[in-house]
Amino acid sequence: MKRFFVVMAILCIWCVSVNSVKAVSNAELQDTSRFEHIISKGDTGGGDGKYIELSTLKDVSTSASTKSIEAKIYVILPSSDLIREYTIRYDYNLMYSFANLVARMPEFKQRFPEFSLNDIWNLKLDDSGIVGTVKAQQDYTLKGESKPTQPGYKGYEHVTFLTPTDFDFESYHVANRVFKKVFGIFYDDVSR
Amino acid sequence: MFRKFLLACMVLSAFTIQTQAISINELNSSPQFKKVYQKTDSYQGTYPKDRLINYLNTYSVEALEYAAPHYKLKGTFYTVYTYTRGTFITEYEVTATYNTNYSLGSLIHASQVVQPSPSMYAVIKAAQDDSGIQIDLREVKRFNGDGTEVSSTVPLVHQLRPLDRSRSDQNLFAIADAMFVVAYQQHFDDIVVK
Repeated sequence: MKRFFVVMAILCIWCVSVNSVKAVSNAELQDTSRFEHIISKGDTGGGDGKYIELSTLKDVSTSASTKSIEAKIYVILPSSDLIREYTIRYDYNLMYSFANLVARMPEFKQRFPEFSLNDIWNLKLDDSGIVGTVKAQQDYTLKGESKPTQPGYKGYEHVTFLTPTDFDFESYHVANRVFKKVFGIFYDDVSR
Repeated sequence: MFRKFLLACMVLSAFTIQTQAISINELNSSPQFKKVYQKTDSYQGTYPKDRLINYLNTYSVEALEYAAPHYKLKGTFYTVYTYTRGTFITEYEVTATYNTNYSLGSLIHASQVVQPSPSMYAVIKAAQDDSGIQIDLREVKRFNGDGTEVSSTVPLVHQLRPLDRSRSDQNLFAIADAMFVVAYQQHFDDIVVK
């Protein structure tokens, strides 16, 4: 019986510790050894922003032509007393990096004599080369207490603070920075 | 004599009216109009599929200033909007000011020369910060698809602003680039300022 209580106590402590690791407060996000603040064009300067949890960055690539990364990214919205945790997966098509497309310019010009550098820009506007997929999301208050996740608006479910990663969106730059954190180079600088 | 004069006036006025009004048929058949941009919006649900096509009047392009790397061109273009309720044409007059220091060709060249390790990502950032093109856009007239003028109380658009290299300005960027091609036989982004 005594042994049972000891096991239960250990279990309780373990549960509490796991839960406290999971919840994240605004104060914790300021710990630069655990989180990196992404200085983003979309920030208002009112304390909002995006933070990458460094220990969660994982290279999950399975093919040579596509690099894949999984990570946890937190988006803070102080005015809504909200920290939203995203578990996100990014897939980067290396053939579509800007450096690779620019390097292929002579080939494009040969096939289409009127091809211009502006067409490369338009290609990227049609397909940025990065696909972001939110795998899970969890909401917290700024103090780190769990909060029920609001369902997305109908028809806007795929729109989050981090997706889609279209070329002319701020989220595209976040994805580029995440790539650099893992591979030491911006996605668009990859040439092969 | 008076009858002759009257006849001449009638012929002249008919001719003038014809040159002012524009119809879809003319835009599609006359070689002076070049289709430079097309976009179809497909909304989900009950919205109709809207289509937008831009035609540049290539004969209208004139150079106002030429002092490389700065250029200024003026031209007329037509936007054809196709909705389920009908087709409408809007005539625009645009003056575009170009700075080829910000063409993609120049930015790529600068990044390769100046930096020890060239960064194409830095090129993207620079191009998004400044497209190198400013426009003065004036809506001139609105027509129905058959060329008859639309009388509307909605004020005509007038914008003076830098172009953005985003999808929202892709159509205007295409017009400005087409004007550049007409005047200088080269795409704006292919100019390399060394």
